[in-house]
Amino acid sequence: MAELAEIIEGCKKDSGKYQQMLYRKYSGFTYGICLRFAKNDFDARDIMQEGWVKIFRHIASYSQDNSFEGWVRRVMINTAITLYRKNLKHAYQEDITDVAFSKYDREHSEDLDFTREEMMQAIKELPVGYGMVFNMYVIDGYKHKEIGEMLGIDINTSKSQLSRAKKYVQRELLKLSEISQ
Amino acid sequence: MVQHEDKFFQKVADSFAGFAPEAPADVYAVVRKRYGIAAFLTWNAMRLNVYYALILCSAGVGAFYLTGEECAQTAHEAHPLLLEEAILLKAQQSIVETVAYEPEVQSAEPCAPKTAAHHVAKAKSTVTASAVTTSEVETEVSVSTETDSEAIAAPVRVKKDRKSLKVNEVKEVVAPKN
Repeated sequence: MAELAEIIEGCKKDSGKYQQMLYRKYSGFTYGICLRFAKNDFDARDIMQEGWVKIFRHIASYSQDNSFEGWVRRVMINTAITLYRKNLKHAYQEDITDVAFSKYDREHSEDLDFTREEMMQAIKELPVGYGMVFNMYVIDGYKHKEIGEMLGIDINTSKSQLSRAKKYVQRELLKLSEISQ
Repeated sequence: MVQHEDKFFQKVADSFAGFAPEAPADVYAVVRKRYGIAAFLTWNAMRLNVYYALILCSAGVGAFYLTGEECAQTAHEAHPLLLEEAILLKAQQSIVETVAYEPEVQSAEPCAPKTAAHHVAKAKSTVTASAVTTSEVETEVSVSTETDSEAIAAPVRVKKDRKSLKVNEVKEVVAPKN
């Protein structure tokens, strides 16, 4: 297997062989991002396809100084945001009202045990905008300022959406744990 | 690895660390197809895009043939009567040219000496006017044609022959009566 730098150089020269190598190396990583940001498998495939076309087309703009994984992640998230905005006109926008927590829930929400699949299921239950903020902040490590710029929302909106999303996800996880018990 | 002060957030981030599920096999084929279309539609000055050249050439040739045929067809459809009239006029002109052969010969007059031409003209008028009855005219005509043959060059000789033929015919017709 060729080194990453060699693969990237090959991709910059528009070589199909190196493009396939790069895809094999990062397809799983990118598909994971797509699954988190998409509501269903169909949307995840769409983001994946569109994102990889962008990667191949704009790989020349990638500079070696930054992490390639970070660059790929950013391209994929930007693609997901673009598709989210495109579908925004047609989709019904849900909002989360304040989630009522009992004393028991509040005590146990921080120590919840959950699997990745359960977490994924809980995230998918979130309205798309909330899910994006949650994903970007919690899993991808973006700051509220960056999220605000990328999604075109206010920092405070990002903060409040994250807070509501957290409570919503915790309640969903509690429900799942109750069902399993 | 993403670090959070919040315990719950850290748990979530940890659960997704190294999350890389296997991508569906057919995705890459679609990616290649989409990328091919995108690359084709993007003009790249660094490489000669043969496809663009081919498209331009074929479009040019197609347009040339289509417009050529179309123009002829449109002209015929728009002015069929005019075209027919033009054909008829041309035909009439050619008929007129064939019939009006003599004026063409007359145009050769400047080349011939004045006397000869005068004789020819005289002979012509004499024949047409009185060839049917008088023998005098016949002799005069024959004389005049002789003069004609001496004086006039080859093109006029044709005329002489014709005239002489006419005169001979007239002679034949007139002779038995006399």
